[in-house]
Amino acid sequence: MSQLAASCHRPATLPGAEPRLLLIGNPNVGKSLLFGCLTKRYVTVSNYPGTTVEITSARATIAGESRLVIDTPGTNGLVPQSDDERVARDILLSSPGADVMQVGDMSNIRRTLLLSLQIAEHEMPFTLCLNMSDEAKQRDAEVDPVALAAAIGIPVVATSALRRWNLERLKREAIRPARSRISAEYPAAIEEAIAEILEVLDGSPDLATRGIALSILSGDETLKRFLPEESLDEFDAIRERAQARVTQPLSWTIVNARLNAVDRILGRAAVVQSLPRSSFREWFGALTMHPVWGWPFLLGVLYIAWLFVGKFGAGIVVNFVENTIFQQHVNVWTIKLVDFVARFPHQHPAVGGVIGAAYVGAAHLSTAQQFARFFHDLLVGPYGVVTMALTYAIAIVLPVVITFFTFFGVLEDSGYLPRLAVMLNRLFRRMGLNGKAVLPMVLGLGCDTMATLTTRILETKKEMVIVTLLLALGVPCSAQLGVIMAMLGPLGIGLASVWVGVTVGTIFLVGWLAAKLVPGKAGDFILEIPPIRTPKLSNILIKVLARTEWYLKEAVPLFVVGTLLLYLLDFLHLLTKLQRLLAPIVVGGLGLPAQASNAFLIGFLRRDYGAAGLYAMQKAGALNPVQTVVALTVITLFIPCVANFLVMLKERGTKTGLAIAGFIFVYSFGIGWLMNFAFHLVHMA
Amino acid sequence: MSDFDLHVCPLCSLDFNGAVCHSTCPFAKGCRMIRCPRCGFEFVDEGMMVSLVRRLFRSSHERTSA
Ligand SMILES: Nc1nc2c(ncn2[C@@H]2O[C@H](COP(=O)(O)OP(=O)(O)O)[C@@H](O)[C@H]2O)c(=O)[nH]1
Ligand SMILES: [Zn+2]
Ligand SMILES: [Zn+2]
Repeated sequence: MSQLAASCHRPATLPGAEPRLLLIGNPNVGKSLLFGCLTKRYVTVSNYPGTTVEITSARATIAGESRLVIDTPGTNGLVPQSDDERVARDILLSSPGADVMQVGDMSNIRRTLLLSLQIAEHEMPFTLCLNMSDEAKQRDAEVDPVALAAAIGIPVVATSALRRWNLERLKREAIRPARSRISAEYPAAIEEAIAEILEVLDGSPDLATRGIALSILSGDETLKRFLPEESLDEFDAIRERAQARVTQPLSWTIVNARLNAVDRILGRAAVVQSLPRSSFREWFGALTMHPVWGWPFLLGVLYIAWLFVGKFGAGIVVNFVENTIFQQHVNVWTIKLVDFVARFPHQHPAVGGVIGAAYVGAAHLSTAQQFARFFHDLLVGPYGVVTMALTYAIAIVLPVVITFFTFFGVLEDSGYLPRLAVMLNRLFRRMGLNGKAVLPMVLGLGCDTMATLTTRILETKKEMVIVTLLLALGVPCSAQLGVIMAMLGPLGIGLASVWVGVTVGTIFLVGWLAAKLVPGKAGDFILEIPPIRTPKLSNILIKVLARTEWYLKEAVPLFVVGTLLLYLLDFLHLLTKLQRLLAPIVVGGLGLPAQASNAFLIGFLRRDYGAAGLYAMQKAGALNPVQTVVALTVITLFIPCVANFLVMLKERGTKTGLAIAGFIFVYSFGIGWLMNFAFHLVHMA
Repeated sequence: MSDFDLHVCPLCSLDFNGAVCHSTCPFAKGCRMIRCPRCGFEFVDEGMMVSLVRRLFRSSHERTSA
């Protein structure tokens, strides 16, 4: 190695001791962009010594390890034809032990592999990044990185620097280069010449590679300063002897052999790609997304969700947590404690041997006693933080969302979600909808729906408004869906289907209108479909835990705020006035008890909180099944939460935001009114 | 979080890091939602509780294996 280091100039600005990561590749493959993605900061641009060729380098942490990342000039081979190519080759040769990453254009796989082969011949461990995979997909020139990796024996990662795809996997692999086993078959004359050159180079092991030998045979003048001076004449002699034995110029013969080798590799990669599919897993995986059989399967999945979340979670678990733990213990003890601290004459009548938030007390209280009552009611009154907010959040909603998250975790971990996406996208497509815009939302039931999404995928203002509307109307966040499922549990399949029908119908109706208004471009939805796998318990538990924590942080504070609001309204005697104001809509239109307007009020803060309020009413027998479905549908279609509303105003402008909110308000209550009306007609008939 | 805070999208199998919910949502300050940069799927980052459990398991595992 000493020879090499002495004879070659390292770029002056690049410290020598640091581990390097070299990016090497053909021109115009997105190498610079990729370099930018990998490094971001501390970029140095310098001229390679003795040239006008600019070299970009930067220190960066790659998969936890520090590297000096160097972007070499684009090159088509390691026998340089230009100054740029010479610099690229020189940096490569003067960085022994560096992690080499070849960047290639996926659509141009032959050219890419031609360079790979030469790096392999130089016996350098490297990784291959197939960049511009987005373009390759569009042009139907996709290459399976797994098959290619198997064929050439080094890590291969498909990326898109432009879209920032798969850069993390790239980083992970970048520091784990491997020696490729690919090689070309040269004519005997060349193979023998290679052997002779390697014998001469025996003393300098870093130079003794097939790659160097082939460069010498190709007549590479620029290589001379790397080679031991005393051997130069001998190399010339070997080359002339070899040339005498082949008809074409040596360099041409070499390139030709390399091209043949590349075609052989591509043939092998193609074979690996089309492995026969036979196992049960594959069969089952295909069934779940079959254009016909996928649908009964999906119905089955929904039915299981309903059983698990609605019947088990909401029925059994909530009953235990709410009735036993909270009503009989937590609330009782808190009430007793508060009564002990904040004294004023009152009594909590025991219902079934257990005291609750309701109480009877004296009409006239001293100022101190009034103060005590304020504090008492704040914590344990009918709108108390403990008796309402925490009971709803912890005793009712939490068990429900935990069961729901568990179910959802199974779906995620089994690999069913992408299949579901394919199924739904097929349906959306037939209706001319852009599945790409809403599917991840519908499936992910993410929070904070519209803000981030719309800016990214959708181009026109019209599209944005429609998607905003669609999401606010039809897509509940995960916690909300959990509570809604819980309420559907006791209703029976028939009424539960009414809710499903109306909600899904709304998504399709708005989506269909959207497709009419915004024609063209039904976006495609490209997914790698992972194999179906048996979900792992530990994975699911981790997901449930993470989501639960998120839920507690996100929802509980708003529950408390909502309760305080109700409490204040009640304290100022505004609540009954508000209920009376809303009575024509809630009681007259929807046929619900006046008390239900509380649920809609807090439902505006967070839909699941409102749903929990309805759920409490349902459990107390204040809502019959028909009323439950009506109330549930209205609250589902309602704006998800006040945050969502504010985002709408901010992102879409006050006027548009208010218009959307107004439409949603009218639509949700209008549908509720229609349902109530229809149920009455059916009832009378 | 480190440079190597890797997520795998459950919907499209992309792995990536970053892409935390940078929303205008007024409640999103501490939001642990992650969104996949390719398909937009949202899921929840592992929070405190998970890392706590992980640590617990790791230390007990180390103890038993030691
Ligand atoms: N579609 C697509 N374009 C890319 C990608 N990476 C880079 N590009 C574009 O390809 C062009 C060449 O990129 P550049 O980084 O200059 O390539 P370099 O010559 O290899 O350094 C630029 O216009 C990039 O924006 C990619 O992954 N997909
Ligand atoms: Zn009391
Ligand atoms: Zn994704």
